[in-house]
Amino acid sequence: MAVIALHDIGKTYKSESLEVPVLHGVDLKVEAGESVAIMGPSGSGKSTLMNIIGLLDRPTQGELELGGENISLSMSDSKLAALRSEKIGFVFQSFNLLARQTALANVLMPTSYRKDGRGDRIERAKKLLKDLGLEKRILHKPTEMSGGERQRVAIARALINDPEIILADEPTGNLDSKSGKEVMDILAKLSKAGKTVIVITHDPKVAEHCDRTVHIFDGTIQKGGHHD
Amino acid sequence: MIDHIKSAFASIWGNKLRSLLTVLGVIIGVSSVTILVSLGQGLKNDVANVIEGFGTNVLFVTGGKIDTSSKGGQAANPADFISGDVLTQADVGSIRALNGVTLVSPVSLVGGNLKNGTKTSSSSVLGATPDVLDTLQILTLGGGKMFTSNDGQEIVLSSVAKQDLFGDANPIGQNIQVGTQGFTVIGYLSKSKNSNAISSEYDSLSFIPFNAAKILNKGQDKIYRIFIHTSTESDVKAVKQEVFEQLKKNHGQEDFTVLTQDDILSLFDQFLGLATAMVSAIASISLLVGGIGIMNIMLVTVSERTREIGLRKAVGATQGAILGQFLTEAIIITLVGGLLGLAFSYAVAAIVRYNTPLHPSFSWEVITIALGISLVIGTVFGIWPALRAARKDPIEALRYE
Repeated sequence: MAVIALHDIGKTYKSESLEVPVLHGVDLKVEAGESVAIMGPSGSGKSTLMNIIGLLDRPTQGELELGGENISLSMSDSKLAALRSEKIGFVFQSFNLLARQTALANVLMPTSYRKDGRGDRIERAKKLLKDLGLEKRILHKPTEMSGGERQRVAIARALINDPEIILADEPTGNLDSKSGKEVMDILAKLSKAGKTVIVITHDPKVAEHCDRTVHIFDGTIQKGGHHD
Repeated sequence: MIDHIKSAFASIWGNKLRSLLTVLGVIIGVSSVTILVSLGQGLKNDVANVIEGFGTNVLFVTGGKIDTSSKGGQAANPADFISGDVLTQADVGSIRALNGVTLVSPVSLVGGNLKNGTKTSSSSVLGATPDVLDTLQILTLGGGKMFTSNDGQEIVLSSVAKQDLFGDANPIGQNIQVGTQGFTVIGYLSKSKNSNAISSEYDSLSFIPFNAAKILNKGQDKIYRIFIHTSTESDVKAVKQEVFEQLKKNHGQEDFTVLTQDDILSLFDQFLGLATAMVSAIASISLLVGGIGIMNIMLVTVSERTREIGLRKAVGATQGAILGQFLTEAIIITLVGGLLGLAFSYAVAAIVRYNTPLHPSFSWEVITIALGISLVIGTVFGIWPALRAARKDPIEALRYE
């Protein structure tokens, strides 16, 4: 079953005098446990596509289904926020960790916006950090960690609410090649464990870690192909 | 909510100096209000204590008209209160004849210092009838005896005058000067119970027989106050009304005031209310400036933490959650300011208590006022920055450099 299903998705930014079409007629299906790289040059629309899949932005046309749920264009901001919290884990290029808080507090942050699943949240966060090799970093602040470690904290944060989809926007962009490879290995492992992983990148080496790559150019998907 | 509070403290602690400077206005505003309220409360307690010392069945008449209704009205001529030309012996006689009145003591004011050789005391000397201590109730003899007639060159020293003129030595039988005349000390008063800023006025009163005072006042009565003691079972208000009507008949006009202890308390309340209103007006300027400071720093904080806001929204924070987070932060920062202001005024109150006869009172009322003000300031001035934070677009916010 497709965890992500986009049908004829289009997005046009409108200002007073200008209409800028960014995406048109995008169709994309991603199965559970699949990992997909979305590649394209800057301005191709890949960030917009990621924002739409991540429910941060609304398409101006088309249909979107996430985890079997039809996402209506008229959903309220709070409904979208609740769906993000439940279904999606974000990983960013610049980590976006809270500098003054410990690794543990950073991982726990998304749980404060959920009504359920708070009971054993500290245990879950510690286990995630441990599984990602950050056992000794639990009470460290981001400033005391390397880039690779920070991105692993961010991945733990993305996983704390046990989402179906991991959306990673240039996750290796600020890392050296060794840490970058480590991060991609972790994402690959997560996909094998059943998570659906979407990676936005312009680096073909990063895309190689994924099951398939989707190329986007001028707001249209060019071709889809399987690696391996 | 707990997460909001934790995050607010982390943010405040992360910018210690900035936070402290921000809340300075709130600290000053809150401490000025609380210092005044606690001083006022203390004074009010003192007045109440003195009144308790008098007993509620004492009232007095003074020259001049004081408006005891809270509406204000015609201003009194201050000279009438002390001139001693309004009240007469005839008034004393007619009050004595009224129902429910047990004791009546006219009191006259005598000018001039008390002298014992080279030692002087500037404490007040009153001419009075022998029953004055029974009427007033608040003062008691510490040693010796009270004079028994309205004549004679005898004096009962106040505790202040005794200390000034004789120190710890026994003054009984000694001769002293009042103005130009010689008097023999036959007794002295002990410090009044519930000694405080208000009752210490009474601790400086020395008494001489009424007619001896009349001689010192060049043959004039100069009645300054008439103290009236009512029987315990009679209604003080009814006696007050009787006295009022009698004196109005005697004088043909209302150029005097009859005051019960409750009237004094309400006069004091009026004065205190006015003083509190004035200082509160000044303090509210400080609180306004403090509030604007809070708003300014919250706007800076929201702008600095744009990416954090974007991130929080991405992981599921609603507008309401972001609003709550930043509003909580503004409220906590002002509450911390309020608590610091309270601590400061508590310290000031302690200093005042040890160095002056005032007894500032730190009641729950004061604490509630301080924290209530902080809460209101935090909410009013924190809401706009918090709304700005809540309305940020998550995509823009995440892209913010």
